[in-house]
Amino acid sequence: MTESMAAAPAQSSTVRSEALEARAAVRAVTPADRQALEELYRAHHQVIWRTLRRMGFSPEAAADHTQQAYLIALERLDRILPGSERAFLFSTAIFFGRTVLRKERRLELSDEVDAGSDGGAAARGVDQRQVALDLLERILVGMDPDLVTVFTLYEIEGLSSPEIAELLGIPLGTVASRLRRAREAFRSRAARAERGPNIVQRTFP
Amino acid sequence: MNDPTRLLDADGTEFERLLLRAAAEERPSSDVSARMLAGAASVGAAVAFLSSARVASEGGALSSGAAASSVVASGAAGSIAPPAAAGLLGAWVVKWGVLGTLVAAAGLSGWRLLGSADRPEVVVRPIGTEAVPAPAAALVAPTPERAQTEALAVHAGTPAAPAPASRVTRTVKPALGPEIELLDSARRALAAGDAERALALISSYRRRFPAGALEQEATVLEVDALEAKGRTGQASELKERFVAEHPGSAHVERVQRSGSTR
Repeated sequence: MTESMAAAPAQSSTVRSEALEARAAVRAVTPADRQALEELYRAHHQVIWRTLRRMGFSPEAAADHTQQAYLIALERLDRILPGSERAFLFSTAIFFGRTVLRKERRLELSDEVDAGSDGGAAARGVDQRQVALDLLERILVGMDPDLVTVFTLYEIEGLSSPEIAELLGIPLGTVASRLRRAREAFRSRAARAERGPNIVQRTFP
Repeated sequence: MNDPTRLLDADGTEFERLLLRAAAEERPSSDVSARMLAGAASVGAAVAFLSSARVASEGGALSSGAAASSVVASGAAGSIAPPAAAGLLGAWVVKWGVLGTLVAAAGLSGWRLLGSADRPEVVVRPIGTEAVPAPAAALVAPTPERAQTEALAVHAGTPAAPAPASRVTRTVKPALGPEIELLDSARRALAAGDAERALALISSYRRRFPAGALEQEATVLEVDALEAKGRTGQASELKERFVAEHPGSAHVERVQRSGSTR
């Protein structure tokens, strides 16, 4: 992880508390709001968290952005049409993710890999699934974030194209074309990654 | 339109499916869960602030801030891996073990095995109140079982928990799509370096949706676009106005930081 990745999630609890107090002061939160929010949290927080993870955020940063999306949703519950809550949460979390990522670029793949270390020793102490996740991150981080989002929702979260179109507010045809390009990019990068870590190069600026 | 077969289902190579399965099965570790829950619970805490009630969860009380970091995460990450992963990825790591070294060195701990992840035990202290026990469960710590249910439910496009009729279960055509689409175009224009077009799209958003649900996001983008154009004076003015008008917005911190990291 780079320093910027680690720094991204650091939102001080003081700031957050102040924001909450201000919010509580300006808008009365009703029991119905609270119930709605709890249900939204239960139903969607993990998918949102994973979607942010695939965009290149650390577990902690993804958690922070997820909760921030919920904070914003609470603020707007009275303006979000019933039935649009999930779309609102996703679009907010992804919006946040993208604006932050635009400023604080993600880890550089090739810089992190030093081909000279002892592989056997590493293999003994390493969580295999973590290796898979880390590899996947290296693959996705070099792809266009727009493609990664569609790819993640379709291939990993199992959403249908129409669901993705609704969540992201894009036409179905755009989902299809992004998905096709995303799959091509993923497959070609995965094939290279399988042959060795140094082959996974960043292609997206 | 027919969706293509998912790589995870059949279309992918073994290696691709390994990577995707790891992602699909990833759950927040107990400390990350606690962090997220604490944040979301502080939403509950803001609510509790008004009702003087305590937000409690199934797995314990919740808390904001420091509680998240005080949660002790246990469970040895990596003690068990699916056989396929152990085989193929094990071989990969042996061959390209540098990555493993990096993973270990970076102290990545995002993944914990489902069965070994401890449920977070956190205490929520609603803002400005002493904790008062209340019977109602609020935000519930995710259990592995529930996580599975959630995943299935989301796939099916229905809410996870056996919740009573609620706003989540109602199916009303969302009206947010066009708003998102327009702002997303602005965001993409800005990302592509066309700040002028981004600004035009933001204006168009404001005309079409004078009381839009994403007004604040539009302003965040506008600040970025103005700065990208070098119109820093206007950007600063907009920032100040935003902070004055939305002191409690979750965007405040980002807007204030805007420009300083370019």
